[in-house]
Amino acid sequence: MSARPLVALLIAAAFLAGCGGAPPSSSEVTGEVIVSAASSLTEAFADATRAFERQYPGTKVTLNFASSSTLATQINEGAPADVFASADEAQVKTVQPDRLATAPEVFARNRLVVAKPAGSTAIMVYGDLAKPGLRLVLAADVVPVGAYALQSIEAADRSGVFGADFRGRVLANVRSREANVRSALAKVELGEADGAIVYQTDVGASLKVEAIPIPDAYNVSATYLIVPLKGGTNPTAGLAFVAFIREAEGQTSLTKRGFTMPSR
Amino acid sequence: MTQRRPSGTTLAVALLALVFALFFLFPFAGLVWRAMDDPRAREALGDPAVGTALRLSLVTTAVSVTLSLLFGTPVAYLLARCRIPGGAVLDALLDLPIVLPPTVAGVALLTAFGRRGLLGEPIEALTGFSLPFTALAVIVAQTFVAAPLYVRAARAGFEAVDPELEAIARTLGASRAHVFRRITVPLARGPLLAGAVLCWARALGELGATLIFAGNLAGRTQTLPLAVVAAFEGGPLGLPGAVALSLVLLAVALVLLMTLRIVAKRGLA
Repeated sequence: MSARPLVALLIAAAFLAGCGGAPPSSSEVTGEVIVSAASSLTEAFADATRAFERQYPGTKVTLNFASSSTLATQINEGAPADVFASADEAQVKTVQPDRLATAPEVFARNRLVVAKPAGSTAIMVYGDLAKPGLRLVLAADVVPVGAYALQSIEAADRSGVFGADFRGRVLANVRSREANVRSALAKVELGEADGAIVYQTDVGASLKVEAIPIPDAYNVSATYLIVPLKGGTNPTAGLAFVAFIREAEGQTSLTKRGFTMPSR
Repeated sequence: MTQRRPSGTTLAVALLALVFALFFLFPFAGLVWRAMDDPRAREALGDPAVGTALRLSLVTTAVSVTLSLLFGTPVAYLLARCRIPGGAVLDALLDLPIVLPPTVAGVALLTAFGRRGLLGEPIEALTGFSLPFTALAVIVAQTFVAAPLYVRAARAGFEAVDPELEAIARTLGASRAHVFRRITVPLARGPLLAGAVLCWARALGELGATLIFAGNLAGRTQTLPLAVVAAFEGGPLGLPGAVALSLVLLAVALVLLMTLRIVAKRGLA
């Protein structure tokens, strides 16, 4: 029998005990580690992965990006992931509890914006989302950014600022429910959609889209959670990766891409 | 050579055939088993969302196949009978959608008929109409990937018809259209039907090009395969819904194939 499960358990115990327990020593952390992460983390996690592989030579991080809901389904169907980084809490909760190695923890926050094609005048302010005939694209209901977008639209509807049945009028403009935030953004980049509700971090990288801010009263604080998984192929490195994301260098990769830190 | 007990070759062939048959049997058995085993899958079968996706799939594929027959039949006949200039290019162009990944087809359709596409932009400027996100876009995507299958089969069918027969009918005073209707098509009936059914099945299974070109909206562009993906990715129907939708697709495909067999048999009789 390998000593690995024991080591993992000890490390997990150290983490659960908190108090900034020492991360696993780099000699134990080696090999391939599979990280399933929300699409919106694509650039930030690519940066973090390079830094992680520098800190732990001999490791190879394989990143698997999709909507958090897709990733949760994959994990429940037995995908050999070692880490799950979700864009909302709901999708972490759908993962079978026996796959979670520790309790999920918040590691980043994000805000919503309306993305529109650069130079387009179809949408100038948030309230324009209800303009008749607008071509709007949202992520599917279960995709975190789709769920957050609905929360935002409902908050705006309740405020009464944008007239009667704002929600209904906006939803009537929705032309497609996309599988993840990046395919919603792609429809805007291509100019097919007049607008999409995405994260503010998604818009930074693209010259083809502009962001219209969503007022705080109708915005949401998207909460990202990360959790090491059991039943993958490399639980030790999984734990190390989660610790790395929550520490200085990992957090820098995220803030550089526009994510904010959870207030601890 | 003399007859002997089954040789090693015979056994090997039988074994390979058995493995091959099981390989195709198990996934379908799995679907049926999951549906029987999971009461939520049976419940999902009655969900109105399943009916909506089924209706959209049936209507769009019916139109796609009709368009494929309408435009594809003359092209197939031309390719089979005439040395037309650029025929080889047309032939290769028609093969492309068959070998290309459907997602590439979706992107290509956007660059042509999207709001910023070669044709899409001037069309929207003139008429205000844009194709993406409409049921028509679903039909365009299906026709683009599926029609070439019909054209290939139809062309092979026409090529197998002896031109002498057509020539004789012409000398007896029959018009070209009459010869085509009464001689060529009946003689090529089998391949034409097989091509049409293949085309229909391919259109029914279309996913990648539709997702990219037509988007995904229940009731408007979400056909059965898109609904399977949406359910699998955690949509309201969930995994049981994905199983139920897959069963419905399987049933439709089976009905199509059976119809083909029956029609083909009648045609021969």
